Amino acid sequence: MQVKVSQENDFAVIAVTGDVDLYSSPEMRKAIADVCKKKVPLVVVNLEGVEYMDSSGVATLVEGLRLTGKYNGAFRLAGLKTAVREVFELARLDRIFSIFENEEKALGKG
Amino acid sequence: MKEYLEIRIPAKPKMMSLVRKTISQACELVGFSSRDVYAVTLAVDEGCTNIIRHSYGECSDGQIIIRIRMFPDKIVILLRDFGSGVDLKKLQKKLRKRKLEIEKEKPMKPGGLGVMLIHSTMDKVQYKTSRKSGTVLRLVKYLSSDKGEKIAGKG
Repeated sequence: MQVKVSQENDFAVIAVTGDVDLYSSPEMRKAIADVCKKKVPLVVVNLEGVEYMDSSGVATLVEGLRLTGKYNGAFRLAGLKTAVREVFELARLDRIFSIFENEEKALGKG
Repeated sequence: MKEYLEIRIPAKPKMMSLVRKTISQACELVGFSSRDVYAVTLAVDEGCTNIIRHSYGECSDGQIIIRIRMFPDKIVILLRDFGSGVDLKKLQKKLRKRKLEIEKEKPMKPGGLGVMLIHSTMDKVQYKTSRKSGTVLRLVKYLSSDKGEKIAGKG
């Protein structure tokens, strides 16, 4: 799994590629926590390159939502593959996340 | 056809990728759709994750024995560990709570999410714990199952 973070003044994009599981999710967790420490107003996690995610990955994103909520920031998910999205749907977590078709739309540019 | 494959892996998070590849290839041999391949792979991943995190603890030297039995109409997977065992009462309680959350359309909390995903994607889920032979999680998925439809193909 690879995590690439790009940050502007008022937003950050965390682009994740590969499988997110118990082994790899700590890296994504660290990237999210680092961005949240800076209280970036809008955090977008781009999951376009993620083919597989298990409950460890989902829990990590729930943590991101909680961290941004602490400082009234926005936490958005973008580019979820159908299978990954349906893991969220099974857990009814698709209702608590703001999920966008792609990164541009999540950033309000689409 | 009644073939089986058995692998023994260290209970380490880095082994999960290998487990997923093995399970998905076994599912393809049986003839599952890509949706069901994903569903079964997810269930086994969650089962192993629970063993690593809860039964052994993440720093253990324990092992997981995975037996995959392939039938013409189903796949049966046994996950065996020799860790602290499963508190079935606690597990059932957690599962009931999660099911209730889904029925009431409340978003689930992360705790117990893995167990819920296992039950949502597999047709049969059974636990058996004994001091002598460890804990066995038995997972069954039938070829024409509807449950796999909840998990779509890989995008």
